[in-house]
Amino acid sequence: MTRSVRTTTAITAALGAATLILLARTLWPGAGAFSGGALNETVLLWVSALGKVPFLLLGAVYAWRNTRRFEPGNPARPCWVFLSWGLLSFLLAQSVLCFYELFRGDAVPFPSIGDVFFLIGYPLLTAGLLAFLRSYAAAGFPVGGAGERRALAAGTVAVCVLIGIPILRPIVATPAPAVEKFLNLAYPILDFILLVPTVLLLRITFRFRGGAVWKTWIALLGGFIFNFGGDVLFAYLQALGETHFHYLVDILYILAFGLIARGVLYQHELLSD
Amino acid sequence: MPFQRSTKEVLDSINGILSPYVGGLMARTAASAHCRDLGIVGDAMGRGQVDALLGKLGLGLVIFLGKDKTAAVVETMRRSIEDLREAP
Repeated sequence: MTRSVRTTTAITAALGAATLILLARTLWPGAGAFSGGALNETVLLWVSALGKVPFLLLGAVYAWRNTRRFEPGNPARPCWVFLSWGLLSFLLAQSVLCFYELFRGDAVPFPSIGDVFFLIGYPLLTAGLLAFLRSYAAAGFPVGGAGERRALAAGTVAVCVLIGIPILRPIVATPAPAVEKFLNLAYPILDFILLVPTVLLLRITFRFRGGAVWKTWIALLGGFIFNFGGDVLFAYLQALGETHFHYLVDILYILAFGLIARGVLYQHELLSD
Repeated sequence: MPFQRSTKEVLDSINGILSPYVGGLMARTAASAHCRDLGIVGDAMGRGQVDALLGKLGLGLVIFLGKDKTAAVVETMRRSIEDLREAP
């Protein structure tokens, strides 16, 4: 078994275990294991935290190491810098949330200092994906023309508007403090913005299917799609005041950060072989 | 006798080495597109044309693989093309 296969197996096992536990808790909250059993709320909080923070740490560290492996002047280098700083911001944000939940035993205040890091992270990740898009389009591989990318971007924006209106409307209508309302609107909007380069890069990635570049990017972009799903679901449930399904949001984030970490590690393997 | 290699064999050789990195479809279409851009239309290629083609492929690869790995992959392609039999 190669090191790459071992890494994939370990990440898949961690993602699968965390997902199964949290999904079972959502579907059968009254099951013995959850109501006073081995998987009580404290354990579930740890499962949720350990499903996110280590993957973000792995992603941030190895994205930075990828940066160092690209020589100065390589167009990919600044892209990986943006990505590593964006993942570091997310890591700090998630760490703040975990600190409240695990060590203070409190509900996470909203807003918290974690939101500041999230708000810094999104523009960095978006800048990273846009920089990748620009450099991959200029690499000389036949990845489709600018017209095709413009049409796809326009289509993605149109879909975002269609999805966004029903999601954002209850957030606007719900009475809430200004900062809270701002954040509940900001996250989905930042996600929609991040979704545009994600979809454009996905289109490019499909042309590389079967190769190492494909593996790297399908994992990375899959992670961004799951993160989008998590944020949208979080905003929607928050607006509705729904609390029963919050572990579904955690599942989406765990899958997101696990896939992003795997994508970053694939790139590292590609540079290191 | 000047260096001459069959264009089809050169493309097959490049395809075999590039595919694990960029996938079979991209390896094929990238090499063919660069040939078209470089005006390589005949059944055989000279050394200058092979160098130009490898140079173009290397410029694209460097964004995914970095300079050192790209240099190694391009060198593998060059050696593989060198080992092909002379085109008639």
